Amino acid sequence: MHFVRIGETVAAYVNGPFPHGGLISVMGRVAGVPGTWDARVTHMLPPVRVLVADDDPDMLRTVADALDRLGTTVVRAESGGELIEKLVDEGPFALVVTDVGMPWMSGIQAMYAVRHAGLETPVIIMTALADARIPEDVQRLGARAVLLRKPFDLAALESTAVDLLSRTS
Amino acid sequence: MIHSKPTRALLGAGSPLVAFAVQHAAWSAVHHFTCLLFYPAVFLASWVGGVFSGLVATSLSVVLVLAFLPPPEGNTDPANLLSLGVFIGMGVLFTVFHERLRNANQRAAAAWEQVNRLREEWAAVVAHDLQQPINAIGIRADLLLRTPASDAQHEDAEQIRIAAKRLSRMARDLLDASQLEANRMTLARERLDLGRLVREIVARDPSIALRARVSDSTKEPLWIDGDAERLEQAVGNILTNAVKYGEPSTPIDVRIDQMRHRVRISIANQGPGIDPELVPTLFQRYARSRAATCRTKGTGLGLYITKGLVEAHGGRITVESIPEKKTTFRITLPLAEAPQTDTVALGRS
Repeated sequence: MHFVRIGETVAAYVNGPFPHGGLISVMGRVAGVPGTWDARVTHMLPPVRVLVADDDPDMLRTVADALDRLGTTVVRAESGGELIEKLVDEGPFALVVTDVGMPWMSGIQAMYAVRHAGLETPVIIMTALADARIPEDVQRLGARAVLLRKPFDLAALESTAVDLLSRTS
Repeated sequence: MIHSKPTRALLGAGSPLVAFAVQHAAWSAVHHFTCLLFYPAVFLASWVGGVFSGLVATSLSVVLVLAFLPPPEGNTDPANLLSLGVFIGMGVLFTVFHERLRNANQRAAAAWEQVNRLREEWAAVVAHDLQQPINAIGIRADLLLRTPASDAQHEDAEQIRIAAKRLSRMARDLLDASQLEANRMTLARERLDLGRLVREIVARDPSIALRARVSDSTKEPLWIDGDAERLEQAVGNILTNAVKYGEPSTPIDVRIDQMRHRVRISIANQGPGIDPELVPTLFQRYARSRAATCRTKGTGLGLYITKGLVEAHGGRITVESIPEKKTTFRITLPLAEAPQTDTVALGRS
């Protein structure tokens, strides 16, 4: 990833296998015509299937909608148990995006179970918790697991997903 | 201090013996005041040794006085009996009140512990529950920014995004400050090359990257044991302040020096400087610049958190500000040994 100065803006740019070039995010405002570049940024993820899990319905809807707008096909789950269920019943998925703190079974516990069953689906673990054990737990899920701290912006979600998908495809 | 309770109890109970020895030696001077030194002996016994010690010391004192230190008027003299009675009463009172004091201290300590625990739970709620809707607001604003819309709508969306970011930062600062205050900050430490980490921190933010110049005193990597994310937070805060409060378009000098067992990061910027009156309280909570050029509001916790994070790493932070000229922050951190294996994190990927 490197920074590029475009007029009044600094942009982060990465090379990727995506048809519209790799403009990931724009930092700062463009004093110009938004329409000329948003066609490039609206669909920044490949049209893959993503499973999103979060027990907070608003967060679930927001993250799922965002990923949908970024070009993926999204399936939703509201608990660790449902995550595993849908992974099995409606799989395969190219990516799992899950919250940690869910009742009964946390996102991390669900992914441990999934890994144990032999599924190496890449996963983004979201959390608002500052507990230092969580990064360790995520590391134990292997190289196909990444921690994304809440709150994150759209660009962070995007670039994390892009990075993980390009690494593991 | 002797921590073993039985030892303390025995020592306390035996203190009348010391009093006796001293009084016996000085009998000619004190023979009218038979209980004189036994008062402090009993006070000490009940303070140091507890209830048992206090009561035993009182009894022992009475025995010693009656047996070995009779006043010239004789033991059964009413004045002497009265004096002994007062002594016994005082001995019991000392014992009782020391015990009450101890209990009160214990209750206060327990209450303090509970308040701290409640504050931790509150902070965890703030971190988790508050950040969820803030996150949703921010992401929706980002989505709005990416859809075709008028300039005015994009401006609205941008302002929503900025406000959400500020809210989130304030919530995170509150949590961090609370954890630091309660000494509950957990660090995920790893071996880091400090020079490389600082360069990554600078590069990550374009507004800093454009103005900061990083120089090393040595070509060798300088290894520390640190939490990369937290160090980025701490050092990043100083750099952001340098950008915010320094003279625009002037360079920010970042120097990394190796000292004997430590490494020092110096961040210097030119500008109006910090009011000398504010320097002593600069790193305290909610201390904020009264300067008219203070452009951004915040929680007033930034430097408090930075200092807390640096000290959690075993380091120190100092500031030196020459008004109208230059401000320099210096962070020192302990050096670690070079790692044995090659699988080591050099900053964050």
